[in-house]
Amino acid sequence: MKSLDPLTKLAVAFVYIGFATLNERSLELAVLAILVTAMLLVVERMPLRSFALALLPFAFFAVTSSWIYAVAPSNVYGWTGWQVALAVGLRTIVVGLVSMLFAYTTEPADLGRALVHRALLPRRFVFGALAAVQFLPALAEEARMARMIARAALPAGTSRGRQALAGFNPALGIILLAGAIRRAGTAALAMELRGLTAAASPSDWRVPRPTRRDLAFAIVAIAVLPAIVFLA
Amino acid sequence: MPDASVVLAAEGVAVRFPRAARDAVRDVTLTLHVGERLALVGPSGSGKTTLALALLGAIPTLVPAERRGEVRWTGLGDRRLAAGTGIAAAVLQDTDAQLVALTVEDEIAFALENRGLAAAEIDARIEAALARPPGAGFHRRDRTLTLSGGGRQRLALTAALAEAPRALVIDEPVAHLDGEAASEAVAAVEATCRAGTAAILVEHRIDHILHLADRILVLGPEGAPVAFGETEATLRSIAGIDGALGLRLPPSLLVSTALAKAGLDERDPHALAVALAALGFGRPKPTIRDTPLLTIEGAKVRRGGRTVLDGIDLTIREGEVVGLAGRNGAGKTTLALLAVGGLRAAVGTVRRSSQDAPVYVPQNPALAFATGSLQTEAMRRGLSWTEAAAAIEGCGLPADPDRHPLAFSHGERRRIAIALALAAPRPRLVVLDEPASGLDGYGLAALEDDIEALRARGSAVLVVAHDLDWLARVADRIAVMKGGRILADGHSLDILREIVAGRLPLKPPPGAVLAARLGWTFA
Repeated sequence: MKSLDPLTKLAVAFVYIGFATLNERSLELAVLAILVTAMLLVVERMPLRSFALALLPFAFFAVTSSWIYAVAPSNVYGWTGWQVALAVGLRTIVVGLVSMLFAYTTEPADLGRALVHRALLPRRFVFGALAAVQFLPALAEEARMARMIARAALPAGTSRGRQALAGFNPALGIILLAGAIRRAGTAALAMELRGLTAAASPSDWRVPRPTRRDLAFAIVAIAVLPAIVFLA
Repeated sequence: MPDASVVLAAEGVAVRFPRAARDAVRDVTLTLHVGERLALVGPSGSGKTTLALALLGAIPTLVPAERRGEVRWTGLGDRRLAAGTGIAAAVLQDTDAQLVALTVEDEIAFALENRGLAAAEIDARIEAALARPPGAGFHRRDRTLTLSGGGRQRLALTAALAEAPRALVIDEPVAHLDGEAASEAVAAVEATCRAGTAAILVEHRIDHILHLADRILVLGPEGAPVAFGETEATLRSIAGIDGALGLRLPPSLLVSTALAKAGLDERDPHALAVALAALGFGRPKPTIRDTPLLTIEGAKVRRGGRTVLDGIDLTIREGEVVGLAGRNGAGKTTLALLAVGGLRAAVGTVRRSSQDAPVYVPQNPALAFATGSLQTEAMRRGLSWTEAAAAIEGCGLPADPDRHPLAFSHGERRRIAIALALAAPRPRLVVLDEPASGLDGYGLAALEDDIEALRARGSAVLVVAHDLDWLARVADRIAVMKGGRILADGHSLDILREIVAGRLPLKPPPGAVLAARLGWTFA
């Protein structure tokens, strides 16, 4: 799927997310979840550890957003609270899995170029967002470094529990935030200095274009949805 | 008729930031010719970066500041942005934040796409950029996020060179690079300039650009030019001034000036002693007590499923200064964090003799602070405000108890972090990660005094640095790292001898090479 047109994939992903959002049948959602998981693990060979780590926030959100239906059931379709909770949780998981599949198989720069040239989004917006993607790992690395430094500042004999909590304080958050703002300013300046808003119309270098293969992919991918409804 | 060889002409340029009481830069007049290389130097805060941004047109078009005077790039009107148009290409000081793409080829292509070049032309330029230094060694699909700090600096330079501009403006091109990588970067700029590209280089490490720059413009602390002319002659005139206007002068110039002052030439039997004194080598070091304050034995550290340190043995004793050297990515910062307890060893032991927390001043000094004011920072370190204020004022900075540490500049934060470390009742283990990076001559001299003060108080000091001449001056021992292991650990001068002889994989530093040429045996 990595070689497919990013905008076609994006459109299909939106269709899948719409299907999951409007669907309340747990079995259909479960089948879709299994299908997308299989795509990620078997076809795209996503490492299991990466898969689990990426799914974790969606799973957390699925649990926290659905438990209320289980403990305080309302009379939706005459279902039990647990049935509603399962449907809401699965819906979140499917949305997460579809997003993961799209993100895992799409090169952000290709998506950016497609959005600029075919969806006519402003370059400043698209490439600003791409640059921001760079910040996240850098920010995470700075936070990790700050925690290590805070751990080092503890006196010998500090309990492991306190060591683990070292660095989680609001002042460090402000320091990291200030670093991120400074970095954003430099990145914006650097992009302008490299002609981001130059008058020339941007080059069409590596702009992804849809092919017949993308059309076939879209037809098959969307046909899967009524098939699931029919079979489940 | 305009001179066709002129790329840039600036006249009476002055810059003032909003609400500032004085100009950050003033009275700058210069011309830049085809293929000419101009170095822009001066002490910290002299306005070098501001001037570079004003010349690029970023001030006033992108950075809100008032610019007076005229900046004329040939083929471009005044007050227009020269960068990104094919006229000038810029590499900023903070290359970490400069990279905007996720892969090497996208990074190189970014400016070329913006200029609307044809796809085939962009591909050809990427291929060419990756075929020669500083781009050689990268692959098109390499991820920029996985590159080391030095690697990111190399890529920023590669991308700027691929723009094939009429002029390059590079702010601290070798600041974070080890000796070898710095030489490669300088060679790449030189090769580009030979093909007709002019360059403006802002740099503290003048030894790296000494032979590259045709002319040098020295800004004084008030932002006005104090010297401007042919590089070697200008620097020679500055070398005679006490403190050398805060410049970090190249070893060759320090030695030749000292010899000239003593009325000697290189063949004189006393020349070596004069040269060593000028370079700061061979100063007697105090006796080190035999009490180990840090002992690391057989340590192994794993990160992300990868062994990043392996078989590390290191001991630092009371009153001892140990230098840690190695190429970018060798594992120096990881070892520094292991030494202070920020990281735990998967195998092996790390013993610190004191119950007190060690002091660590990281490469990014902002991370040395964990609270929102200088006063709470003092309290966190067990200092009274009077003690902390004295330390801060001692390094020439205002001691306002409510001021946030981040309200100071990068260099000032580093000085405060070190000053507070020194003020601690008795810091037993002090680890300084790249403390000399980005410091001017004054800052470097102050740092050397600080390290000596720590030594005198019996602290064990570990210093990570790329500048091997400087490291050999301040450290009793140097440990050389490669691939997460310590390759060699010995007396500073013995290690320096091995490096100069090519028996250790580091680029010989210019001061040591010069001293060896004069007959020094590193004894």
